[in-house]
Amino acid sequence: MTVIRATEVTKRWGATTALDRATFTIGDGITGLLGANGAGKTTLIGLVLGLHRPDGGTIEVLGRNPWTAGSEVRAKVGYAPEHDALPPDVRAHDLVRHLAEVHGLPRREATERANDVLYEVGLGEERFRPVGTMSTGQRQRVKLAQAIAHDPDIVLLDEPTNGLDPVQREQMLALIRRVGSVLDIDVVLSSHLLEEVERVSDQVLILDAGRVAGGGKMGELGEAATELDVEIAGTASQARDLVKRLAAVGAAATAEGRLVTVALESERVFDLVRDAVADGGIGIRRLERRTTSLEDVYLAADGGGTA
Amino acid sequence: MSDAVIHDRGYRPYDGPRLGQVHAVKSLTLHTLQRIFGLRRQARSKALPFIVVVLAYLPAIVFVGLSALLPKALRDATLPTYEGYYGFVSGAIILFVAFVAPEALCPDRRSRSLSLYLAALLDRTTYLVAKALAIFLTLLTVTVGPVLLLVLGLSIQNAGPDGLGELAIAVGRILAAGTSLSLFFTAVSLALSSLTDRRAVASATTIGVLIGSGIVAAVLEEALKFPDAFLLLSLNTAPYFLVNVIYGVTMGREATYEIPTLIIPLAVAAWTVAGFGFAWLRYQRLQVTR
Amino acid sequence: MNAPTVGPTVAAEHVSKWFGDVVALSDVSFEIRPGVTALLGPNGAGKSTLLRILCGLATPSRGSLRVLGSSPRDPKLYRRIGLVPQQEGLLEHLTGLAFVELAAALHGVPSPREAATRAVTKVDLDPADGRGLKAYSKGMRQRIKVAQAIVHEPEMVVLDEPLEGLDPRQRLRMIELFRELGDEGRTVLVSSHVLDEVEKFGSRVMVLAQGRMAAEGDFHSIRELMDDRPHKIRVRSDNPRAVAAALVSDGSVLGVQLGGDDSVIVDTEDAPAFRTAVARVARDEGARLLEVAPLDDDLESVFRYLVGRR
Repeated sequence: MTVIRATEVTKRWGATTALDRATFTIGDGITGLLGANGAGKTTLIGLVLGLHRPDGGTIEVLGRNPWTAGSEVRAKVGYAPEHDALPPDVRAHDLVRHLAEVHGLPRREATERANDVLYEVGLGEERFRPVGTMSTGQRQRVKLAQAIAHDPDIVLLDEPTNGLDPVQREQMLALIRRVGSVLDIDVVLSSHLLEEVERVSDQVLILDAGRVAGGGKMGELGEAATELDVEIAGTASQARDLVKRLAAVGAAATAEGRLVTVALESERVFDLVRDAVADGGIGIRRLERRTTSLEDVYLAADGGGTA
Repeated sequence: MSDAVIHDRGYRPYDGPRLGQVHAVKSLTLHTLQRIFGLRRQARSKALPFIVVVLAYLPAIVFVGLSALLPKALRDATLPTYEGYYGFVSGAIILFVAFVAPEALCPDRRSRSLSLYLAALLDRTTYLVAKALAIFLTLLTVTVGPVLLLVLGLSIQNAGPDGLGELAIAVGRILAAGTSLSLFFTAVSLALSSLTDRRAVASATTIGVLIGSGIVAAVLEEALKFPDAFLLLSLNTAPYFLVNVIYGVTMGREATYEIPTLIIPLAVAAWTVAGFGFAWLRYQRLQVTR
Repeated sequence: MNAPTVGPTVAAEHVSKWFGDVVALSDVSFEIRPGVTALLGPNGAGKSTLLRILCGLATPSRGSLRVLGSSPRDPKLYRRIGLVPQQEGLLEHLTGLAFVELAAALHGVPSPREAATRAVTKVDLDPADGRGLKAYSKGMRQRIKVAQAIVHEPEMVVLDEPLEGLDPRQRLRMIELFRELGDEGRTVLVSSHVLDEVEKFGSRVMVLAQGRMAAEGDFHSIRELMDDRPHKIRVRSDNPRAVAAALVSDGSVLGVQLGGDDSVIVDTEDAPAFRTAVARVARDEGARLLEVAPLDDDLESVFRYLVGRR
């Protein structure tokens, strides 16, 4: 089901064109929104929220025009901005309740849901403390909580793992996955960290200079690879040695440190590698067909970026 | 058959009532009122508003008390009537005006939580409506409250207006005057506070502009001999001219000037509209998503 | 660049730091040498405290820390170190070039304007950009911060979360810059939370957890030190059952789980033995070996293991 549909949408800020006849749809699940700084992601989020009016084209969110039907649309959209947006002297629970009310929930229901949602994001006793006394990790969770408290159909998360250490980041990504799957809220995740987008998203949308430069379902990006990575449990010279052995049986390979990359001309190469490794008594740390990573797709799509 | 139950306190889909913008505006107005009076925060944020409010009510309390104590003749001779009340508290009113609007507007910009409101049911206009309403209602506590207290307190002691009819007229005038005063100062302070995200700067600017415009008007009128009507340029005295018109009196310093009666409400209305318009324009242009 | 000091760039011995009852750093010892070193650790583990001590902004409560042979508070060190702090602190009204030029002058660089132009160009910004820093985006501000830290060609550069706010292409470029600086013989210390990228900086890491040094050194070596803990590895082949059975009887694995389709997941406590066995076993069974994928071998898992151990 399409949640956001944009057709030739254009938005200018003075002399700069932030979005230039962009056409795309965003549907079910978790969509990663990628692009260089200045590529139009923030403007896109602003248009979805009905904060600005497009200069050309149309954008439809949940079937309505967000500029003219702003409140109806925003009642079903959640937003967690990239910047710090939480008033420091308000208690987390009061804040989430108040924002749920401002999203249309009556007071009693807002209070109950604030409780539920804070529990869902893993905040226990901390919820009664002023937001300013919380750690970065807790504040990011409060931001997520206020975005989903009113049970939106879609939630826009802008760099939700900013400032989080690796363990906290993992927890936030798990939460986001849960929001997208178990809680059944569609997610637009805008992030500069390709690895985490790769891990969490069902599909991606890549913007470059205001236009759609690429995107698609995660499993379908890029072509099948024709190289085999072999990371050996040995020294760089053993790696070079392996390259020679492979060359002797007709398999082209290169070595960089402990990583040997073999051209996969045919499926037989797997066996050649296996035998060369076994003959040399070399240990295999990792043997993997090289896949096109999201990074490769992104760098190909993004035309060089802007300043 | 067990009657054990597991309570899932986590997230559930919501299919309850969803209210509209009016509810959102009410909610923000209430939240802002609580913020202004320091409720749900530490004690020290309650200090300033309560002190100023007390200062605004103090003369009323004192006069009502004195009225009870003094013999009738002395009372009628010395105690001021309600029409001149603002003369005693204009300082407190300036202080309050300079405190309230910054407290209502600036923190949301400083903490950048304005973006969260605009991502909810409010837009820039309804957001300002909610804030203006909160400021207006707050100012009413010092523009209407104390004067009403005085009139009613005196009436109870039979020292107030003669008869129920006169009393009703007096109350009506007090409500009108207090409301116009409150509306005027809401507009002006809203405009000045929309200029910055720092409360202290907004407060200082408000006091500065209120007093400064008074000085400019005085210079024009006295030193440069401009027509008296130019006194309406003084943001701190213009609304009081209107109060006098509403009360139908000529008293205080304001009485010695010659200003055509029609110009006064026009000028006050102009300032009020200009103030709201300015604030509205400022907020239309604010960048919130970055 | 000045002739390098003999010995490590930074040498810390039993450094502890406490604030009242709170112990921020506890008995931390390490050496940092030229090249790129990544400083990792959970929020609150003591990284910021360590960086502050390193830059002379705080002193250890106990132990000693020497930078380039001197105490970190030695004023002469100012010219030999560049710092990219996490917080903002830029002078908004200056242009980018002017800001970096100012930094150059403060560090005693002989031709500040030339040095500043070089540094600004090195971070992919335009020296002729006449806008004030106020107009700069987050990514541009980050890069200016790096420019002011390298303008005086310091021997050591300390960067606290330098990639924040940068888009993917800018991040890759910045990482390339770190490696260039490291290849020039400078000592680059980068504090970062994004482990997938840390793997690209180079392989030296220092992991702080709860005020203690949980691990330091070459990442691959740390990984190898952890070889005696249980590992999970996925093996895909065209005859998974035979390969699984043979691995078990070979003795290098504890257990196997058939993973559906063509994979088995192997549990082993002797990773080195498994690694040399797998190809041999596959060949003996005549099975085509398609994939050997360790499931907990990346920096992320190593980090989690190191940090979670206490």
